[in-house]
Amino acid sequence: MLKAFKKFLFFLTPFIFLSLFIFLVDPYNLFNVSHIFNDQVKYKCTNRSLAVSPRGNILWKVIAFERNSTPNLLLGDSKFENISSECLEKVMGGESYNLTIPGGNYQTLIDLFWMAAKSVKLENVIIEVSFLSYNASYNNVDLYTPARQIIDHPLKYFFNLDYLKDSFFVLYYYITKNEHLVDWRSKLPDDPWQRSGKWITSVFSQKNYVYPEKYFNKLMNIATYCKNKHINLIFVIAPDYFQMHTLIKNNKLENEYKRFKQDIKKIGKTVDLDTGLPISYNKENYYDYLHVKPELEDSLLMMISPTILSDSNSDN
Amino acid sequence: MNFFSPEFFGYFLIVITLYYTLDNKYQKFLILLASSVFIGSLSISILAYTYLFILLNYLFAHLLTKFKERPSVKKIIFNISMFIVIGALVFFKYINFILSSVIQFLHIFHLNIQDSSLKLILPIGISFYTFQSIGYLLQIYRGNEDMEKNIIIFFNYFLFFPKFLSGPIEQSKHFFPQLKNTFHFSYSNFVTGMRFILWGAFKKLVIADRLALIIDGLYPNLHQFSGNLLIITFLLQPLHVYCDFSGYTDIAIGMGKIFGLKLTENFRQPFFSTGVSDFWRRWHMSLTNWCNEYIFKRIMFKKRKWGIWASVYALFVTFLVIGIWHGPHWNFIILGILQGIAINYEFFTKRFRLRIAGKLPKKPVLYMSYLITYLFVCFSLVFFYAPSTSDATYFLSHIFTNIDFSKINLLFLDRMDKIIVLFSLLFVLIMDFRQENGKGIMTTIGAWPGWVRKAYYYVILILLIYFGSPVKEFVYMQF
Repeated sequence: MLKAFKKFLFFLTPFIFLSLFIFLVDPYNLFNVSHIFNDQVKYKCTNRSLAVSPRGNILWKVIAFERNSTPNLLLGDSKFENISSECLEKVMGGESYNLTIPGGNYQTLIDLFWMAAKSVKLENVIIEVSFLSYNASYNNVDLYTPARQIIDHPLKYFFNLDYLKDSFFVLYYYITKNEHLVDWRSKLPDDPWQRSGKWITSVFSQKNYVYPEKYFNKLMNIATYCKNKHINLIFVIAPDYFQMHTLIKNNKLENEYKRFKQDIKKIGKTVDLDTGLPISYNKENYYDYLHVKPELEDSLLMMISPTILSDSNSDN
Repeated sequence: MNFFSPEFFGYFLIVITLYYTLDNKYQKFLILLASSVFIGSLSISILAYTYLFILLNYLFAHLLTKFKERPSVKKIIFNISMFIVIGALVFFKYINFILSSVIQFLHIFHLNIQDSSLKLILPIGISFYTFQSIGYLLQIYRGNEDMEKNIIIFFNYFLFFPKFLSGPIEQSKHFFPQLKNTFHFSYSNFVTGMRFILWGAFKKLVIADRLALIIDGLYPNLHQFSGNLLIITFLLQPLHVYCDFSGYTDIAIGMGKIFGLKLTENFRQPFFSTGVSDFWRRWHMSLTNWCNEYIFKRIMFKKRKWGIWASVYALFVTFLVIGIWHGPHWNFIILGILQGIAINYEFFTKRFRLRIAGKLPKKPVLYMSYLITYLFVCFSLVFFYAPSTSDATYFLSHIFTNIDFSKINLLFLDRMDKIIVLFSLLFVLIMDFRQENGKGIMTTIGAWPGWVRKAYYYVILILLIYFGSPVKEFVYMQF
């Protein structure tokens, strides 16, 4: 029997080495034992492409948040992904974490809220919401469950091509120090305006807008929970480039857009920045139709005064 | 713990190591313990229910043996045992279906009764071990077998964890004698067992779970898709269920082999069937053999005076049971009836068909019969997969609408997935074809030169570990 096991073990050697490699690189700090590569290198690699960014960000951020939970939280999608922790802390008034996930949908932020509520006694929560994804038939990819499975069953980390590729990528980037490798924006083949314009038109023109009652109810549950637990909750509607409204109009979704705003305001205190702010009319401020330039994101959040946040519970 | 979790892999290796290092007298106890831990890891309440079920079976087997000289008492005990064993299955699996059907029936007479479905947890594997139990008690009742007195062996017959979830349905005369043996480690058993496991996992993770992405994506939004995807799904469904279920069986057989136990073969190249009756001799064989033994033959014997109509009737009842065995659903009843109709048709037209086939070249007739059988299976499986009868009829009535093969979109499968599925399916079908021609899959692999074999193992393992689809439950686990 010993002979069989020895042979079997020998046969598995390449896989054991690959697992050891993943363990040593640990691209998401899952084990947090090996620190051969620093966190900055690893995090940059999670953002290396549009395809990797959603799954990479959610795994990285959930692991980091659960390891070092903060009572103040920002949830949302790519519109606020570059908000700095200094800015967050200024607005929230204490230790905060930016848990926005590029490519995330409403279900993602709902899952992340409950994950956070389980991990820590929350005090302030800001949720960035957008109209584009307020649609039951919009990108229903479940980002949270796969990340949760990896955290709950760490052995799966070793048996997954994505994490093996991520580990090699971290090593490659570390050796080459080529910033182009981790800058997904520079790797896109077409102009961001054209790309986002096409994408928005395809989402809107499918004419399959389905009112997302499930999201409304789930957000309502979050609001009720926050009220009961005395957690300050604020929704923020980020400003899109003004021509986004033309696209909404062209696709006859104005009523849906109005209802979206009404819904969010019904759920909780809302800071609506998509109301024709001067910033929205200058193309220079935007990366594409949906995203302000990364360096301007902080200034958007600064529009939320700490008093609005602390008053949110009483006003609801 | 599922079969594909790293935890299970480690667990299995520990159990096997202990199994062959411990003294032989503890081997049976270890199987029981390992099976109980495995089932308990799925659900403690299911483990408790199964223990109770087995203890009751042990009691009935004991009473049937005790009163074997008193036929009238023995008959009463047997009837009670069947009432309890089948009753438990009906209660857990069919009660809600029966209740809702009765309520719907009463609606016809304007009797409005509120839907009062029960919230029950279906014990995993119940259909498999209930059939084992019925067969076993029937054998003792008929005096064909003696009762197994060793309670550990008795438990292992039902609980042996590789086969617990989805069979094969082991017949007592085949399995008990094996469980009584003591086992010594055999290198060849270990290697063959591992080959079976690898082959089964390949079929399940690389093929079936990828095809499942299409099927699972289609049915909930059936009305959104055009004929393109319906045709592709129609043709892929048999391959999906085959790779899923035979994949499970191969893993179970492989694990059994490593334990020194030979589990019943469940599939024999079903896509090389020349007719529907031939298909059922090759598909889920442990179930069809069981039904043949305990239903078909029994009815044939009882209704022997009916002549040819006895077999017509027996066939219908047998396939109705096979259909209902799958679950409480009208679709499964239709599935069973369809098989009954097809096999009776084959039975009545056999001479005529043979006469025509005799005048045609052999090979084309053979291939045509494979194709017709396959298409019939595709048709039947629409009722297997569709969530409701109306969905199944929608599927079949819209299969030829808006066909445009230039716009084929295989939901959730990217280019890489398509390439992997295509080549893997081809490989499986080629291996099945070789087996059909007498060259067994495991023997073929064993006969390859060492380096080819090793390359094959590595390719399969790389596909499994790094290119496997997200693991889905085995289709037959729900039964």
